[in-house]
Amino acid sequence: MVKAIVLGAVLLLGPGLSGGGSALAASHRIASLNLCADQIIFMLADRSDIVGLSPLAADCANTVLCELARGLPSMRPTGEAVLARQPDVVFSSPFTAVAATAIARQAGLKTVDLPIAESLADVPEQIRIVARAIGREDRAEAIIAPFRARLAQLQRTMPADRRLTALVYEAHGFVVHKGSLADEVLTLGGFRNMADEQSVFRGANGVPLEALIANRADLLVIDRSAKGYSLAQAMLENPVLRQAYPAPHQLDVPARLWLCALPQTLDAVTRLRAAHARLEAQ
Amino acid sequence: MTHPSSRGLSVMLAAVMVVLLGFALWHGESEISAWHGLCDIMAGRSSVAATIVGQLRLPRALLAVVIGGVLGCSGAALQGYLRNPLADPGVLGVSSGAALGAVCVFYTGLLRLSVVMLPLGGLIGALIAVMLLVGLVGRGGAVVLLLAGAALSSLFAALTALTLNLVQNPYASFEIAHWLMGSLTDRTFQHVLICLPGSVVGLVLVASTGRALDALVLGEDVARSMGFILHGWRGVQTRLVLGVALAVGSCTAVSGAIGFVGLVIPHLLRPLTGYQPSRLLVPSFLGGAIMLLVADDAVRAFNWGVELQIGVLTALAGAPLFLYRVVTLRRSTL
Repeated sequence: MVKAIVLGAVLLLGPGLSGGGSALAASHRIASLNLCADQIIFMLADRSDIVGLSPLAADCANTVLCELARGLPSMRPTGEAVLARQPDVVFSSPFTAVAATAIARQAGLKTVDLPIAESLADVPEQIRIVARAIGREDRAEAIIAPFRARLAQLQRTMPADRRLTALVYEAHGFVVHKGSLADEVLTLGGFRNMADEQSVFRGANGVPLEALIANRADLLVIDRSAKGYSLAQAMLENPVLRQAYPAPHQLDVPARLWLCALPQTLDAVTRLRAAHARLEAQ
Repeated sequence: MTHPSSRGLSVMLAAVMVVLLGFALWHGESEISAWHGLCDIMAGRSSVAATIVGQLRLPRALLAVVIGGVLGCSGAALQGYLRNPLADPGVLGVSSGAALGAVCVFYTGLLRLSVVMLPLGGLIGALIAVMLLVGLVGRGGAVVLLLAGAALSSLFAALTALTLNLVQNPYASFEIAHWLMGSLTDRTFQHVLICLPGSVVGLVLVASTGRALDALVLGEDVARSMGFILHGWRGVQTRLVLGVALAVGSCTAVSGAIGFVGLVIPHLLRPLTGYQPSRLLVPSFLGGAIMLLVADDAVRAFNWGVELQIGVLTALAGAPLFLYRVVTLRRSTL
């Protein structure tokens, strides 16, 4: 649901590249205020070229390559922190650190807005946006090619049986709908997204637990990787959910795999395929 | 009229404020040399240090002075006029109106157009609140003013809660909750421009009521017999309410709600000014500015991963100060 709203906003406002242009020479001072850009920078840039990453980059609950962030400079998402690093390029996001981004832009820095990804097809595009901005297009293709090969292989081996349904249930009872990256991953994993098939799951403010038990999906996908404690997360730990969805009907997919569109997002597909096989064997 | 000791107090506070203002330019989040920045600005060169000092630290420090000053001075004027030590700039409901305006900008997504939409929305909310307040109070007295302020602030608080309730995007509600705590981070000269006109006009209006406030200490009848017009469109109350509302509204629009400054500062300084409301106005301005400059420095010095919001810090520091005042007050009345 959340993702759908965010996506809608991105589609409407559609900010692409704001810094524009392809750099001929590699940038040697790269700063990022965008968690998704952080992770692509890990893959493309020399470590010594990174002058500041967003504070979440080292948080393993949100980042797939968090161990790579260790030892790299983290940066407060404020205008002064960005300017003080004197970056050649700043990666921003349409929704966070808006003020810091505006200040960087006014100060004449090259800022590149990385839009929120809505499908697996965006993975190469996201990597290319970052690669163009930092002048590492050669390295981008080296990552994109294996991703495309793996994606094609997964598409070929898509399970023929489309009867199994799944539901991605997130903190606060949000479910994932059509038009989002997670929905596409679910489909590629061999499942039908039940959130779009029944009207009980269309509520804007989250789906109540009762609806989940009354309308049972074959697989409930839950993320238990989030840190901290909140009432929103406590919903996922409700014993009723464990009873209604015993072991093969529940799957843990950490949010970091599909928070950003990355080559590693395909790991989530692999997990779903394994769950699909387990359910079919039953 | 100015008492010599209160002038001395003002000079001393002004000196402290200037030192803190310099410190706010010198010390920030980054290890940039403020001296190089100042030299570059003087020489007209554009450099990173010049940008950080001139376009980030300077507006931020100026806003701390203006906002802290407005809150302190408004608190002093309101406490004097209402003869109620619990009055603070929030009682008029104008800061709630500014908060509602800003929250609506978050909710409607207007923020995507420009960062400046946020304070502009706050300003519009504040101005609507001012018009409602002045219209509601009309020729009524202090009690009507307090009731109207309470009614407006609960109405705006309810509407803000409704908006928070309706927000579907949890990130947006997180941002709103954060904004409501008050902050001066990443403010630029655009924010100063939005905040300054209302603040200056408001402060002038408040200052014009100083002598009437002194007369009001002896009661409304005495003040009236001394020739002060209290109510009505040109009366002391209208000038005071309009002034405080304009100034506080413009400030809240830029910084979010910053509590306790307007309540605590006049209390701390009142014994030093001979309990005369007009003498309290200038020291309260300077005291509020000092409090906010210190708080903003503390916000930048602490680095706990999560940024501390300045409104939280002033409330944390303000409540114990207030408790201390209560204890000393009790001791002196025993």
